[in-house]
Amino acid sequence: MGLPGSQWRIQELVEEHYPNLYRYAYRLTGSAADAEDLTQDTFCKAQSQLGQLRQAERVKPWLYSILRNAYLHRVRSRQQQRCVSLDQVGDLPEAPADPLPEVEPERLQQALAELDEVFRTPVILYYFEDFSYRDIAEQMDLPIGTVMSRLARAKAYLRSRLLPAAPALADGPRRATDGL
Amino acid sequence: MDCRTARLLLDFARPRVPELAAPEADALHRHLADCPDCAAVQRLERRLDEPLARAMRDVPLPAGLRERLLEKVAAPPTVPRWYRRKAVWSGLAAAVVLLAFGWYWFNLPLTQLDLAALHERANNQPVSAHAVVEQFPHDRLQVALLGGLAVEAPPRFNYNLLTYHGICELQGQRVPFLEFQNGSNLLRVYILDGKRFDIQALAGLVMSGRVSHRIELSPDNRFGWLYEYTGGRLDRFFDPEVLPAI
Repeated sequence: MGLPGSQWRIQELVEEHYPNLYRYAYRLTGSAADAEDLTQDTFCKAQSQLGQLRQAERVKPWLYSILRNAYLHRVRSRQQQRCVSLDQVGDLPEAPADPLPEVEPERLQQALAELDEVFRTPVILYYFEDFSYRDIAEQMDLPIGTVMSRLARAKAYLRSRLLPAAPALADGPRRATDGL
Repeated sequence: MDCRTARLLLDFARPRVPELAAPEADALHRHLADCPDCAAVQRLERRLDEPLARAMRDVPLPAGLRERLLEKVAAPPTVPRWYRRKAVWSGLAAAVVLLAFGWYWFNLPLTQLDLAALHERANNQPVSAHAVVEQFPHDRLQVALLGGLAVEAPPRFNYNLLTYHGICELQGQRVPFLEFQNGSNLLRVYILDGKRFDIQALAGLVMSGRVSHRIELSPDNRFGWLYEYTGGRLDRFFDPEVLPAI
């Protein structure tokens, strides 16, 4: 006997999306156990609300959105995390020499943990390369300009923390918010 | 296209997630071909992004994660333990509140009707002095019998004389009433619920005057009928088919 429709659908969603959802959760939380819990919560919630999903093509942002809300719910119920201020982050690193060294994932996680969630979420989604600016803006319920501004500052912070400095480009260093 | 616009559009021209419309993408492409500075910025951006993007996605998946997730969604949804505990405590709290409310309700002190004050006031004011909350034409008696309040109407009256029934306020309580008219004489019957009024203490009491009062209990003692009438005689409102007893 086959599975009921919604059961079949949720299993399909798990198969298709669990690796990236887990990675997103891990980058948000920095903990394998929390990431697994969040991923599990996300699919359980999706299972109970599957009937509310009207557009099948929106399933990916929908799942990411559920996961982020679950994460925010947990964060709010815990103590406030200490985050660095990005006010001092202005200049992007200048052009580094070839080849660029690989970034250690653990160091990246440390740097992410220093960012406030409002900067961390867009930069994770951006580097996953699965979401457009418009998608990220919808996920976070923010104007696209705000997302670009936060993203520029978060990227500048990560680059300054994780990538080596190098000789300048012909037109000099760029501000993190150049063109915004 | 100028350099400022080009650098703004670079953000929207990521290889895996292109967001530019074809004309804008073409214009940007032409600008980058002609502008070495902007082309260098694009190359730099990609070079800086690549190691960060690789590291961002470099998250090993725990062994058995897929199976655990599939198992979880295959199982019927379970209520978390904390939620069960919360539900149990909420249920207990609700039960305690209900019990307390029930105890309070059943032990609510009965209202002592001050018939002397009522009689005095009625004789100094029109008979309909008590504030009428709801009033219905008598033909609706069957369907709207007295605003949902428990009622037992006295049986021996001539209901052809019934002009109104409704709810009035009597000593702070909503009380159903029936109003009869025979010529110039009026009778109002207040139906007192024995659960709310101490009707036993007043049973059989008669007070005469321009407006007279008399209290009678229903056969099962659950209700008291307080008659307030003019003309000194109650039997003029009786059903001629039923022998008067008062």
